[in-house]
Amino acid sequence: MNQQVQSGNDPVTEWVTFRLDAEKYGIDVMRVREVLRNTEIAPVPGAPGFVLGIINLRGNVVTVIDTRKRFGLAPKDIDESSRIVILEAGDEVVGMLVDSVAEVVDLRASSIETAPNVGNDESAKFIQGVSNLDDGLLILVDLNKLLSGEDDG
Amino acid sequence: MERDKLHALVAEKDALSVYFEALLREAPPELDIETITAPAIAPVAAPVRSEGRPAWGDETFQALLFRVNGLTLAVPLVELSGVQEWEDGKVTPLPGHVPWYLGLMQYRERNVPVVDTAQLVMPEDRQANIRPWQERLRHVVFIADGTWGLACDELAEVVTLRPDEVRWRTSRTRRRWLAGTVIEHMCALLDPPVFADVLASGLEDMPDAGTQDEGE
Repeated sequence: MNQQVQSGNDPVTEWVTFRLDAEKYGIDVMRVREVLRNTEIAPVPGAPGFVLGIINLRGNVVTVIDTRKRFGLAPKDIDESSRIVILEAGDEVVGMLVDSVAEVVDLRASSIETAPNVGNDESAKFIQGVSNLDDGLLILVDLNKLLSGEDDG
Repeated sequence: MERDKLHALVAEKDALSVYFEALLREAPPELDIETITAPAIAPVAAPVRSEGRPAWGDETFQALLFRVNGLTLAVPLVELSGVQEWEDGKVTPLPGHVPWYLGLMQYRERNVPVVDTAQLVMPEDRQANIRPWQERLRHVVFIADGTWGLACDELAEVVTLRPDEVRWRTSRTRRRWLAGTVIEHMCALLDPPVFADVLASGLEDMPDAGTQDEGE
């Protein structure tokens, strides 16, 4: 799934990191097509609650997800740091509005921990795993679950 | 008479005592004022686990008392992995979580889930009275070999308890994490391995997961 660089028995995967509030999240670099500065987002009546609207990306209509809402976080105004991460999700292209995009990090498979199960379990819904970076915990997002639309957040 | 004592207690204490009284009622039959409506023959059906007195309760043991939103809880030292101070930013929240799951905290080089104990142990009708965790939490008590952190408001003393000072629960269909109650310290005694099990899987014990109680 990820771009894997074999390094002995400990393959390395690459993750694009972004921030929401103080937390840093990672998404599979192979799913990221590009990162946009904020652009005009047109609302879509009747769309699920976590859909912010649509943008025109070089003539193609792309749905943009309100990631904060999807994650159950408080709303925040779009500012200079805000970015729309354009992702490939199956046959579709989807945008995720995030507070900021940080960097691309390499993670060894051995450094990725499974997020502990809690209850039945809402908590691990979008979480593929976690990894400790020098500046804190990186939360790895499972895009398939995030974009599944099973839950309107 | 026991009942009268309990009612007097309620009059003295605030609403929290009502909850503690409810916990007491769950323990021995003589305190169960619902006995009148209970079946005459006590059922012997055993829960799969978390039944009776845990092994550490067979002899005198020490327990750490801590408080969550005014309620005192006790955790046996033999099942206590450690305690850390709560520090803002030390717990990383995870998205899409239930409110009582505060996030992950580094402990012994592991990412350990930390829960707001008050939200888990307080009854549903008291949930609204729980102050925001941001204003309360001061410590994290680690249990189950350091695999779970129970965030609490304040630590109290370590007490030594004899088995006969604890009103052990005989069967646990709900609040399986509650091993018994200690009247002298007005506290609820946790069964940490069962609490860990409940946190990982035991939905019947979670808030909003049902209102049935044992002894019915």
